[in-house]
Amino acid sequence: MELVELDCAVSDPRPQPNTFESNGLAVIIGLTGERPGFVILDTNREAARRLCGLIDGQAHSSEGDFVLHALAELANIVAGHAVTAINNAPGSTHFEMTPPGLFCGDKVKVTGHRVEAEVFDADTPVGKLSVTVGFEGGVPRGR
Amino acid sequence: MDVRMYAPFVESFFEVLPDFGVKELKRGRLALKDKLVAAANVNVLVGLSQDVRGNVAYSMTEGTARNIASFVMGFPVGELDEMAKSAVAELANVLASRAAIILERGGLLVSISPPTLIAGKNVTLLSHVRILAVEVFTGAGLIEANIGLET
Repeated sequence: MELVELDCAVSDPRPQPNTFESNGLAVIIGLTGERPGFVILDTNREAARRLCGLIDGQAHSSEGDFVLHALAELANIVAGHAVTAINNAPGSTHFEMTPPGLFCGDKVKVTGHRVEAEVFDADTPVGKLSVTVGFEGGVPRGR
Repeated sequence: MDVRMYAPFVESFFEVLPDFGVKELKRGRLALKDKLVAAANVNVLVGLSQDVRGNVAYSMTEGTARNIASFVMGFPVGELDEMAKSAVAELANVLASRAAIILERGGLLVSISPPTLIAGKNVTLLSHVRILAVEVFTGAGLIEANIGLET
């Protein structure tokens, strides 16, 4: 969250059920390579608007195109940092990222049945962001 | 927009669905959509990387999803429960995999991400590129392939 100079407290990861309910807006970035999986950044509409307000200095009253694209790009940057760190680690699994896909809706349920996932929350002054990370065969541990 | 990169995502329906017993396949309308798409209640998103980068979302009503699950599982499915969702997502995975194989025959290397099924009301999908939406009428109902590629 250095990008928007935002303090955030990050929770410990916990198992994410195969199906979970979105808070309203979610960005899905697929991972391909040795261990396919995905990263999902999920938040509510108000937090998304406030977060984008920090990026462009404007007040956003609705989730317009800019808000949605900014959220997708933020997720892309966050996931990109993580994937780069993993790919650069000696002897590590190699990943590639797919472009972000974003969806919003009411009481939307997300199912990723092929992966085992964990989720952690980032509590920020603009609201809570949840990040789900899942891989086929489970989250790799300390290689 | 290079149509040769989009065609495999339609061809895959005609190669894959008959293997699951889904017949009466017919291509419907093509539409170029803006980046925001009001989608159906059930959508399966599959990401693409390497030589072809993008996303494809297979969109359908809940009724069609139940019908698809019935074909895949081999018995009537009355409710879109976890098992049925898994069957629908798996079919989307097979469709995208077949498209990737067809693209590879043409010299393009493609990797796909695991499918994610998104179910709910008033669902809107957003892509950072324009989307080619292709309707495919099937014996299980209408499926729309929303294909967004960085081309």
